[in-house]
Amino acid sequence: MKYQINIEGGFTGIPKQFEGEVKLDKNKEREMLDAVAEKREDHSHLRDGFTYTVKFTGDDGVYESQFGESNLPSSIRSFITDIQKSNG
Amino acid sequence: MCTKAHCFIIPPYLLEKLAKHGNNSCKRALNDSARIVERRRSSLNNLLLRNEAEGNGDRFIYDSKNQFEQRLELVRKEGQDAIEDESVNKAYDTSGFVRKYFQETFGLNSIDGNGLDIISNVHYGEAYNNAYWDGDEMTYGDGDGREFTDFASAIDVVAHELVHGVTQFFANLEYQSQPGALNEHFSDVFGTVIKQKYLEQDISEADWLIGDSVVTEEFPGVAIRSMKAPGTANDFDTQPDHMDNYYNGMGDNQGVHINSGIPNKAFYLSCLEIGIDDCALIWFETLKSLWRTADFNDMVETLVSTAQQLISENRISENAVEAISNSFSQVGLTPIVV
Ligand SMILES: [Zn+2]
Repeated sequence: MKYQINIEGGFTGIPKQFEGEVKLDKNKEREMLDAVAEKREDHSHLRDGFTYTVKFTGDDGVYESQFGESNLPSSIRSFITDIQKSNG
Repeated sequence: MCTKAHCFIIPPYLLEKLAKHGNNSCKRALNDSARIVERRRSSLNNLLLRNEAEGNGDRFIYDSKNQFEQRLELVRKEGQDAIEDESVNKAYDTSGFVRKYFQETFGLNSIDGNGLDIISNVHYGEAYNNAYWDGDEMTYGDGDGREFTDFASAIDVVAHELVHGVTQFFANLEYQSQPGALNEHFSDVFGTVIKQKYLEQDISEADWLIGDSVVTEEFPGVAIRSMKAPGTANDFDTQPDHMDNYYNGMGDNQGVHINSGIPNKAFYLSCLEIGIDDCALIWFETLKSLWRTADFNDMVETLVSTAQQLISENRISENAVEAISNSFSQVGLTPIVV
């Protein structure tokens, strides 16, 4: 699965971008793609929260969505944390 | 005359126009009605998670234990002794300092003027390079250790986040474009004012940097932002210090952390002219008169009228209007003074 993640905003206001490809088992990949497709309500009083623009390209197409700090699915949050750690 | 009851049935765009023309009861109604709608919505969302009881401005520090969870474990509350964890103690002490500043300087009871409890979450997430205000409480990451360190330990970061609360309760500036940049501006203004008080500095000793203590030596810069020289704090710093370089893009909620450099610079210049305490008073009183959609020109207009009022009450120096006008003219926002 290819990924492109843009993180912007936050207290620092410094944007970060991560791009690459990971090999996930089929169930895990489905879980990630479904998580991007599901839209949940954001919290409008968030100040200095990050904005996460997440784009996944799987076998069956491109999935893209934007999340805030309060509605980022936990599976995507841990995926991003792992990506950030491996980019360190 | 616009009473609060009438104002609730007037469409928001009309309330905004009336607020813009100085009708404070409309301004209050506009902010209150938006706040009530928002609070009702978030109360429903958080019904099972949050206890919305009124507080006494007490401090509560929670440890997120490096998980992405708020209010995971309460580790210190108002009046309790320090514990071993220095992030917890720092968040406790600095949030207390911010509360004391607003209480002693402006007579404000906590950040909402009504004794709201001050809740902080420390050690949030893993390598989380951020601090935020979520409408109810603060949340701080430890930083990744490579570029950033503990956000909860920095007085200016803590003050910045708490002042997002003050702004929410007193002006409710929306978080995009110019109102959003003003929202960020007020947080940086009181972040820097409170940092100078905390460090017992005067304006000539101060560095006017925001977030200098949360960046590591490896970070390519000295801080996150500079009020004195916007755009120079680090290699990624794109803050303009003049309207000629205004950011028109869509990123960062249309540049809320970027265009705040313009009023930030004007605040710094104003402080050089009339001192930081007069400026803090003018800015605080101005914040109380602003409204959700106020833009840079509204801000300058309101600063001038607020300063005129405070001069007439002998509460600030007589050249304040001139100082503010000159400072904003230097960043490309010349006010019309009547
Ligand atoms: Zn902020």
